[in-house]
Amino acid sequence: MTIAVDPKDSTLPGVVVFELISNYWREWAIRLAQPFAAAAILIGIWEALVHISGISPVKLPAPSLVAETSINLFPLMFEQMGPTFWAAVGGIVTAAVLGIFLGALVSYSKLIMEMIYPTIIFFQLVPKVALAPVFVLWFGKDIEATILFSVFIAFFPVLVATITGLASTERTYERMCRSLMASRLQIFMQVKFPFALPFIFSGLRLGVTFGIIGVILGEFVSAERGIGYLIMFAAENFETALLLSSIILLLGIGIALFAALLVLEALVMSIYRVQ
Amino acid sequence: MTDAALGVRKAWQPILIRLDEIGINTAAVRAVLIPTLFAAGILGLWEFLVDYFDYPAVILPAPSLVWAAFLDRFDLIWFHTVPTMRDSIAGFIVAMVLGVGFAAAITVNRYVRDSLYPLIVTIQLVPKVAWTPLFIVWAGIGWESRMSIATFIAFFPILISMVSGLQSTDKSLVRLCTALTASSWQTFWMVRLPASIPYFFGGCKIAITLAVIGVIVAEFISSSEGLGFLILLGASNYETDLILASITVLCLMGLVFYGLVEMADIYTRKWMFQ
Repeated sequence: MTIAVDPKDSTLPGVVVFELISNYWREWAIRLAQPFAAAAILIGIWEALVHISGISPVKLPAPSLVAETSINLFPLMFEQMGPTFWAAVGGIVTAAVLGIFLGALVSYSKLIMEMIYPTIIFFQLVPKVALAPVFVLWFGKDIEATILFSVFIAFFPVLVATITGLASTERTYERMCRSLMASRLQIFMQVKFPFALPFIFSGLRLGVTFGIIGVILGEFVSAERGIGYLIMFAAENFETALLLSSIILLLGIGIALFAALLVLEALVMSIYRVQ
Repeated sequence: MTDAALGVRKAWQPILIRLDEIGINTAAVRAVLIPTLFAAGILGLWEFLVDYFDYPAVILPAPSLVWAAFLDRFDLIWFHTVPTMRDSIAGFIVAMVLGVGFAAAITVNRYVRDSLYPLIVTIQLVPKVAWTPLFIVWAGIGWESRMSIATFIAFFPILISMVSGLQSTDKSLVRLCTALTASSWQTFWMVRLPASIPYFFGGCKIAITLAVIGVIVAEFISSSEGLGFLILLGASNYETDLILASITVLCLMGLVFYGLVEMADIYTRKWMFQ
């Protein structure tokens, strides 16, 4: 026996609550569903176009072929993912520590700042990737050389963000702390650094992207291991499906590292209770 | 500040005031002089240390050797500078047109924007240089592939800053236009586009540096011309002086491009606010 219930009957107890919740979540569900739907449609069009035009899979493999290759060659790709992932983590973490530390050091003295800041901006603007072959010449082809190059690329955005952040503290807070006899270290730790944190984290977001770029480029020029090597290998053998699978894997690494940074940011911000 | 430092500053004060009186902007001179002296000091130290320890020039040549290589082989370097310059500028210009066009198309409608914008942001998490080999598979090893990779890399910053620029338009201005029965095309052309000019140049400044990077990476991977090729050639022949000379030229090229965009930005602002 079924009871006919009108789901829109707002006299029913659960319905009011349900509507309250659903109105709130519906907005989010739509916002989340839209990009996925768009991606599905675009991939569908791509698949259809490949089949209709009969384009060679070397030029443009169908999404189904890319998925098939990803599954078939997963052990190989997984093996090459390790070096890239760890090199990226090593490069980004080193660049972050170095960038924040040197940023604090440069901000300590006005004279040092005046001396070095234009040089830093110069390095921000010039194409640093051009130095990749020189790094191979200097440091060899080991994973350490790749990490060093990644540090070199990812370091500058963090440094500049730290300097900008530390310079952005409101003067009144600083003056008040000084009148309360706070030492320079205390002012730095308890006022300037917390105020600089949002800047530092926006620099770190760039740092994550740049760090991955550094690792991939290092792997392109040294060509011994990692996803960068796999991409080059696939391109040389016209295995376009493998190339696209590798790029998707790289996207996975990018998303994982970026998500880790966002979690770290939320944690640190909640410690300092900065909104 | 220590007493000694204060004393030095006091001794300097009359000289600084005198310089200001005869019309020299001491603050500007200071801002130029201090970093220049610092850079010159670093170069001098580098030269001295390499000479003193007799360091092998294959690993790290002295700045004087790099300068000598630049003068000696200027013809070769210039021959390879031209293609890099040409491909970067061409790629940048195409990226500008495509970036503005796509941004206008995306912001036409809220649903289009909400569907496509997150995808564009997500795809950005893959380093775009990783796509370079794909472009070489598609467009061959000629200038076409190098120009298209420059376009591809430079496209995203322009697109993203234009999307935020077009959306940042004052809502009341748009409503006013609607009330004055302006068509959406007129509103776009006369209100939203001019309002997004600062964002456009912000995107262009990132894009022009990225365009050069794209061309260089493409030249690393497969090319027989361009500064990237010359750097790789120098690396395989252990001619480190030639590599560093090429990189210096490349840096100068990047800075000149950036300066041109910056100047265009400044002049456009002046012209708009007249």
